Amino acid sequence: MGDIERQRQPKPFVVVKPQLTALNELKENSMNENSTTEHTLIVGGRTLALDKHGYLLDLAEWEPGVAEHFAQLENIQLSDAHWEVIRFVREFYQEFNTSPAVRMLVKAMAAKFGPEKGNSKYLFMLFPEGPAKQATRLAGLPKPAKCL
Amino acid sequence: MQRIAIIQTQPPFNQGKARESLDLILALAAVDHQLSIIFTGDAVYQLLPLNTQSSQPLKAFQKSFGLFALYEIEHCLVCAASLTARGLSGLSLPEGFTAASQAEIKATLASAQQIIRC
Repeated sequence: MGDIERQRQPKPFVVVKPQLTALNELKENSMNENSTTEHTLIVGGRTLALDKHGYLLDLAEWEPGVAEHFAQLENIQLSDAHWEVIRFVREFYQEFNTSPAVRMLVKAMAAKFGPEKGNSKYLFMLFPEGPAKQATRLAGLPKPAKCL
Repeated sequence: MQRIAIIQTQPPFNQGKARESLDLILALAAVDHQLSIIFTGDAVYQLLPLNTQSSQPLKAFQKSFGLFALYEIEHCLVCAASLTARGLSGLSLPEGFTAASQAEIKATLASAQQIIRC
C-alpha cells in the first residue's frame, strides 16, 4: 500500500458527532462499528441492510441517496468528481465482480481517464480517508478485501 | 520486478483455493511483477461458464480474470492436454487466454525466475 495510507491515522466514524445527530433525525440506526445491534440504513423510505463493516449488503439496492447518506457520515462534500469515481467503481464491480483496492483503483482510473485522474493524489484529495475504502462504501459495494 | 510463473492446479470451488490464488496473482501484479499464469489439471474447470441463477449462487470470481488485461498479464496459458483429457477442448477461453502445448508451457516455465504452484 502507498506511503500516504501508512501515515494516515485511523479515525473511527464514531467521532463524527454532528453527523450522527443529523442522521438520527433521518431515523438512522447506529453506525457505530463496535455496536452489535442491527445495521440498517433508511434512504428514501426504504430500509437497507448493512454488513458488519457498515457497507451496503446488497449492491442492487443502491441509489444515489445512499451515496449522499454515506458522504454525510464520512464528512465528504460530494462534487461531480466524486460522482465520477462512484459511478466508475460501480461499473468496475459489475464488470469484474470485485471491489477495487487502492492500487487497482488507481490503475483502472488511469486506464479509463488518463494519468491526471488515475493517480493516488487525485483520489486522496477526493476521499481523504482512503479512496478505495470510501468510494466503494458510497457506491454501495462491499469493502475491498485486505483494505484497512 | 521478477518474472514469475504461477501454475494453477485447483478446481474453482475447492475451499477457496482458486480464489486465494487469484488474490495472489492480483497482489503480485499490483506491485508490477511480470506474470505468466498457467491453468493445468483441474484448474481448467475454473474457465467454465458458471450458473449464477442457482438457489445458492456462488461468487463468479472468474469475472476478475478480466483484470489480467488491466494488469498487463500477457501470458495466460491453458494446458491443451488438460482440456482434452476433460472433454473441454472446444471450450471458448476468456479473452487473452490461449490453449498451450506442453512445449509452450515448458518454455514459459524455463523463462521464469520464480515458479509458484497453487
